[in-house]
Amino acid sequence: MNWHRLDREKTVDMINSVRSAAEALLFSPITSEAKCTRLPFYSNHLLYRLTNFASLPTFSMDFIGDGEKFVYLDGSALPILQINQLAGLNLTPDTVIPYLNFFFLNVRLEEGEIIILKNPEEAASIDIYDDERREDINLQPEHASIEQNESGTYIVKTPIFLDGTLVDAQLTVDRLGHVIVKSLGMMAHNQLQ
Amino acid sequence: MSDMLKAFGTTGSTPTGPGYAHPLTEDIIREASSLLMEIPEGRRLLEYAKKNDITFGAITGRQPSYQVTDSHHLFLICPANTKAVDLEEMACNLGIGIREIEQPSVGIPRAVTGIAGQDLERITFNHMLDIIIEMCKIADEFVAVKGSTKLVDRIEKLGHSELHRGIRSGLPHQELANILSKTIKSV
Repeated sequence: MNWHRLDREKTVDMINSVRSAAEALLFSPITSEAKCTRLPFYSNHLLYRLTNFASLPTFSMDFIGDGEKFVYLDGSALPILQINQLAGLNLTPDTVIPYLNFFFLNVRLEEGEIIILKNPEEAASIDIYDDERREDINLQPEHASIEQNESGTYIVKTPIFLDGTLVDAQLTVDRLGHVIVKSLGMMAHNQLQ
Repeated sequence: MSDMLKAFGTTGSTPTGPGYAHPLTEDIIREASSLLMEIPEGRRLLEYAKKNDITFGAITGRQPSYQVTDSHHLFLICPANTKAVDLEEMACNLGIGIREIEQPSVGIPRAVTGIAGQDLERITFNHMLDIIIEMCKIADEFVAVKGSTKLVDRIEKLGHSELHRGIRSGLPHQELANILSKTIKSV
């Protein structure tokens, strides 16, 4: 992700906008830094990251916002779906994979961690704690098929890493950004060779 | 995957209210504390927290984690959908969060802003080593008391299996530091 660091004044404005009385200890204008990056599927909202450097390891919170209002990404799909409805979701064959990468990065599903793999071979070496890899939302799988049906829903078929298992999956994204994950079966080990 | 589907209190996804507090904060803290009470190190840490007026909170977040804000406040970070959360991982986070607050009293200073470069690096390293040792201790006690290896598996996934073996075999502290240093350099 290409991050743009906010100046001090905008950082303080953002902290004042997102801080809550109950958890004020988490937000310190003196020791925090804010940055933002563009998301290809939103035209007027950015991803914001607020990091508190008061202690190490640092502590970060991510938001989607328009510069004035910010919605906290709390690990559920709700904030993303809320923004999709309010701001509009621009899904195209070019942005559907970044959207799915972003969705799986920010939503903790019951099924476990999901990562769209660049190729099946990547399953052997991928590190689910590698933030840099996971945050590369523009990474396109090499052999994905992307189709769109009459209602505008995208259907993506691609290998994914599902809670530690290599799975051939069908990922469905409707126009409002709801995501359905369907396993088409585990991929055999010989497909890794 | 079934072992990941336990939930705190009521099950399933709950809409987040205003602020960042997890809607199931009380359940999360009660159940994580209760689980921690089942092992000796957990009981010691909870006693330390009680004696030192440490208060616990829980906020929503994507990854189960924790954040110490000062010597009296510890926040657990828990996904809104608690079905996706492993209880032992949350109990462990509570334990190592308390340990982080305890560290200065056992000669391990907190890594905070304003400390000069190399000192900060050394302090951060010592902090990290101590937290991993604590995590291994909690994991081993869960194996001994409950026969559960989930935390051991997590330590392995985090890349600390060699360090864990070193701790189990009683290696001196300096040798454990050498292992961690090697692990960090290989990443």
